[in-house]
Amino acid sequence: MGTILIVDDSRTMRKVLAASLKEAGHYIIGNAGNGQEALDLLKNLSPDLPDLITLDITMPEMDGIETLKRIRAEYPGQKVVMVSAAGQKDKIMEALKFGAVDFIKKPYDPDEAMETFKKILG
Amino acid sequence: MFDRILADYLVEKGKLGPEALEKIFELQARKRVRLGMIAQSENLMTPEQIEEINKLQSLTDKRFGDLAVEKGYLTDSQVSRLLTLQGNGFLSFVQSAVDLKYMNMNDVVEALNDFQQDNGYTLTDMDNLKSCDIDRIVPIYLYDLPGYAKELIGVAVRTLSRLVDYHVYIERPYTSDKLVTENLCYQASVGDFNLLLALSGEEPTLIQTAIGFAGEQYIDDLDDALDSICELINCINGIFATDISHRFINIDMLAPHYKTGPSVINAEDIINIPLHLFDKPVTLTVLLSDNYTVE
Repeated sequence: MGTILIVDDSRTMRKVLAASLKEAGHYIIGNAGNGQEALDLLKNLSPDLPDLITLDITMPEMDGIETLKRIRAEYPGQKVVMVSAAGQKDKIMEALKFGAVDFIKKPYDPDEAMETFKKILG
Repeated sequence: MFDRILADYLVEKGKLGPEALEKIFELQARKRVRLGMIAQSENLMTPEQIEEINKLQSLTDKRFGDLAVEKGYLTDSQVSRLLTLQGNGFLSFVQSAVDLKYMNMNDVVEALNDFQQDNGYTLTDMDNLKSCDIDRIVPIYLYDLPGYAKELIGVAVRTLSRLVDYHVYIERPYTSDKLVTENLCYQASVGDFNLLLALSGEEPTLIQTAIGFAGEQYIDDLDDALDSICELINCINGIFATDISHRFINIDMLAPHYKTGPSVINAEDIINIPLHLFDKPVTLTVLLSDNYTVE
């Protein structure tokens, strides 16, 4: 069980993911609709950072990859799981290179997503 | 799909009334069973295998039968037999109309001949339509469109059929330099070529579409619905991007957007495909360019 920050420009997808995470016993520490909001939220939370951040790749203004780079620069130990639609293999590879620990696919398969979170958070 | 197309034609020609149609669809729905359920009842697949294939279907542009064959759960001949058992939408529509005595078989034959003549379809087109196979029907409507548009629309219709409404059906596309619509959801992709994919329509239909995709518990209002449809478009574009990447053609999807109320897309050669989801009209729009404005 852990604390999780959800970053996704789609509020519906934030709700869908939060519902599954809560059901699995995790605590949603916050929601952000874009990369900048996520960075602002982390600044406010620091030093009590979330155990995990879920970060959508396709977002307006600051996309998931740029947000990941900034998070990892500011908080090097922060665990981040990328969230991607099909067809974003290159972006996933790039994210893993920049320190993302894993990725989950949209539309969510709750069982698969929870399995990934369990692996990371124990 | 052809059951819905023919139904529209029969209503338009005054051969069936809306009330009769509703009763026919009700009877037809009671008779239709999912392929996975038939496979289970025939002891060909386990519930776990069916669940696995259902999940895979939300991520790929493949049919249940094709995925089950790939996974080694079914053979091609078993899939053919299951499809026969499942029945054909067109045949079950006709059967239901005849059973309820709204039509007899002579009426049906006459209506099919009129339909063929009025639309200028060949006998092969009619066979493809009557197969109710999306992969055989969609090309009839899209034959004169550019290759990528045809491919993307095919992916979109199959995805909508799988994730939103099994009975989705299309009409002939038209091109324009301006799309005047309402409640517009759209996503641009850039790369080896540029494109825009959009879905628009009236509020109740889009809310029903979003509920079909995301689930009723997540859709409280129109904004939720359009937000969710943006994700659906993202999903369609993602499957399309994966398909073309196998041919070393790459595109990147940009963040999707939506606009409530009256909306206009201005561009050259906008391809509009009238679609029906839950028997109500929506417009699927494809543009193979990044030269557009949205108002």
